[in-house]
Amino acid sequence: MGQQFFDELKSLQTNFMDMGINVSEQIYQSTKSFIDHDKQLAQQVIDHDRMINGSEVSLEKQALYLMALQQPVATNFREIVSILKASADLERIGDHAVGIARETIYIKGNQRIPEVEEMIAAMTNSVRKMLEEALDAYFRENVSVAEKVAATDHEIDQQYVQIRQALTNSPQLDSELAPASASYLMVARFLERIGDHIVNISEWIVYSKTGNIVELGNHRRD
Amino acid sequence: MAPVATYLQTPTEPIAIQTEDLTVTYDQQALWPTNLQFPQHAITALIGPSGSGKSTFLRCLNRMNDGLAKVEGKIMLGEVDVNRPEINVYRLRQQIGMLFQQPNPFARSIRFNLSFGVMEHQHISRAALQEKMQTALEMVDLWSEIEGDLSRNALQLSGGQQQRLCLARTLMLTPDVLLLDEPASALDPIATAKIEANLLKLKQNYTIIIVTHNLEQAARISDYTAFFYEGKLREFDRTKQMFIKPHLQLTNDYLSGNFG
Repeated sequence: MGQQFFDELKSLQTNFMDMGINVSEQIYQSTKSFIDHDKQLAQQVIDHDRMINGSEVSLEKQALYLMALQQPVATNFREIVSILKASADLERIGDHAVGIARETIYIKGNQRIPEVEEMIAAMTNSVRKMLEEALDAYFRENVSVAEKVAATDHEIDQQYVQIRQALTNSPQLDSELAPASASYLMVARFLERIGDHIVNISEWIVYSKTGNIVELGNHRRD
Repeated sequence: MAPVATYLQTPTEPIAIQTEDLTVTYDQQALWPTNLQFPQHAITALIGPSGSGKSTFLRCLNRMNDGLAKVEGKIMLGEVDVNRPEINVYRLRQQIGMLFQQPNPFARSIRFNLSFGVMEHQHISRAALQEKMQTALEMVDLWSEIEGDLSRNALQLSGGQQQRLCLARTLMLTPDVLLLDEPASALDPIATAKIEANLLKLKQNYTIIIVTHNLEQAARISDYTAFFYEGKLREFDRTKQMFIKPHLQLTNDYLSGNFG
């Protein structure tokens, strides 16, 4: 492989990291908009998703050109395939952030459950930490960190179950709270799905470095 | 002749050299009217099966087919049709240099190999010549490999080094266009990679046209690709486009190795 190939591979890696950082920011802004009832911020998240989708398309093009024209093999091949697959997961995470932002816009009524909002904020932090650690594992080419990241999805799943229980087991189940509860459940569900996509990204990091296609975590894929 | 499907993209870059209805006839017609535009300071690969006319076409560009075949049509180098009989072919071949499949250095010193053509055509001081030789050898990454020793016999070099010496020899005449006829097919993968790296560097200053049977090589280094088949130019496009989504089924089949 010539210098030209390595220059292009480096640019592909940088673009992938940039996309990851932008997606993490989208998760943060969307849940912030939801908890703060900030429809303007939610709209910004929705608008920004076009850029995320655009970066996925250009990453894909870049990766496909590299594969078709340079015909990389072995580690180079695996790295490009991994970026191609992981960028699709990042794009889906971006879509889930949009889902959260839409809940902010459509939510009806002003009845709120502060305890649940706190749980959602905590869950958001866990998910973002997980994504950032996955990107760090990618950057440092560290398989064991990637595996550890995938294992933390277990905690995200638990947080989801707890939010669900808090909503359904509430003794003062009030019809006034029903619309907000539905939105809380939706948002928690989006966050839980984001966790699953981060597990996928971790799996691609493992593939890139080891060549093994693995199934990490015991996350539900329903 | 029945019309055949073709797809010819027009390059957006400035054109260094182009042919207009170029035909070649040996005993039979070997090349049907070919209109091809070569973007300046880019690498264009000519691909196609054996006997497709790609080498025949390449050799016309600096009049290597003179006396072997009837070559009709125009070859426009800038504003000048260089396919006219009054064109001095020796001067033309300074402007359009060529590198062949087998390295063909003179069995003399590296210095002789590099200086011979220049001394023949130009008045040049000893110091200027020395500098020019060093620059040419540096362009092909040979200067450090021979440790600046120009007295070595060219035949002592490895095959890949000989080929790069021949490339440097061509550069000594400061051509505008470089024609390469399978320049790496006699070389191992490492020597091939060195030639390819040279070409990618050289394209900043030269217009490069390369015939290759190695499709991976065409994909790796070229900006444009021309596909020839049975004496006809069938598809011409950006390499990126052609190797991902060729327009013709025929091109697709050739690139995929589905012939026969």
